[in-house]
Amino acid sequence: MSELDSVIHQPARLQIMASLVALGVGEQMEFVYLRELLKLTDGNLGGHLAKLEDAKYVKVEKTFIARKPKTFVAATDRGRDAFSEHVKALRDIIGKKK
Amino acid sequence: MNVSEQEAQESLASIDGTISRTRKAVMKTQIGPILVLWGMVWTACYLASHFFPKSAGGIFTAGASVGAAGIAILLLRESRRGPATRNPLDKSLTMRVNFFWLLAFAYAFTWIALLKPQDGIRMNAFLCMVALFGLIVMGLWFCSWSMVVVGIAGTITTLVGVYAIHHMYYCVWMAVTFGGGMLGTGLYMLWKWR
Repeated sequence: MSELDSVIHQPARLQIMASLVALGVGEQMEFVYLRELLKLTDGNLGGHLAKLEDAKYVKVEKTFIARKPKTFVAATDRGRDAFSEHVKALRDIIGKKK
Repeated sequence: MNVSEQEAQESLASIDGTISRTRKAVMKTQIGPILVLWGMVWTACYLASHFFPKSAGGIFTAGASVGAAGIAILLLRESRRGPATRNPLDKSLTMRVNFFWLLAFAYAFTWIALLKPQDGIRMNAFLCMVALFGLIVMGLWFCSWSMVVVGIAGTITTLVGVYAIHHMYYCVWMAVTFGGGMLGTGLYMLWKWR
């Protein structure tokens, strides 16, 4: 039986992971784009990403594009597995088969 | 962790909503402006060709040049602003996609040169269907069923234009279905998929 993941379960982090998992494997999303998509503030998104990064569920990469700093975020393989397990656990709770 | 059945349902609904919103937002960012641009270009070209049928060749050549310049501007804007999403694991993907489109139209024009079609309507329908076939391939490549559906629907409306619509009104039909369809889809994405 799958187990719920306390890191992912927080509503904002759940949305962050859902957004990143919706992309292809290895695909990264720009920080500002993710912030606007999820309607979070800079500090809020940064804080949640730090927690997900500590758990090695996301990878944050800072780079420069046209001399401007840009931050890209992607779900790691470990993050994708943890998210998938979390979704299975939620489905188990409501007795819904995949 | 103790989570009630209702809380689990809410979490799953939030996940489904976020995944759907993300996919729509990414698709809107990537192809919304392109659909609007080419939709406007083709609608204008077909309508102009309806009123000036003898100049259709020149009108479409000018339209394709305007569209290509518009694409160059969109790419330049994106290179300055930075992409919303990117995949460093597959840097060659964009190059392969562009190469596919280049090859598709290189083959299409080679076939036209070999077969020398005399009928302008059939030649136009052929080029539209090459583009729509390319869209279906892209849909299968990127697992986007909406692209496949749009490609098939566009192919059917093009064939209807050739076989069921009076040739005098072919350009009006294509302006509405092909150009208008692209423009409408692009505007719908940009306005509704927020």
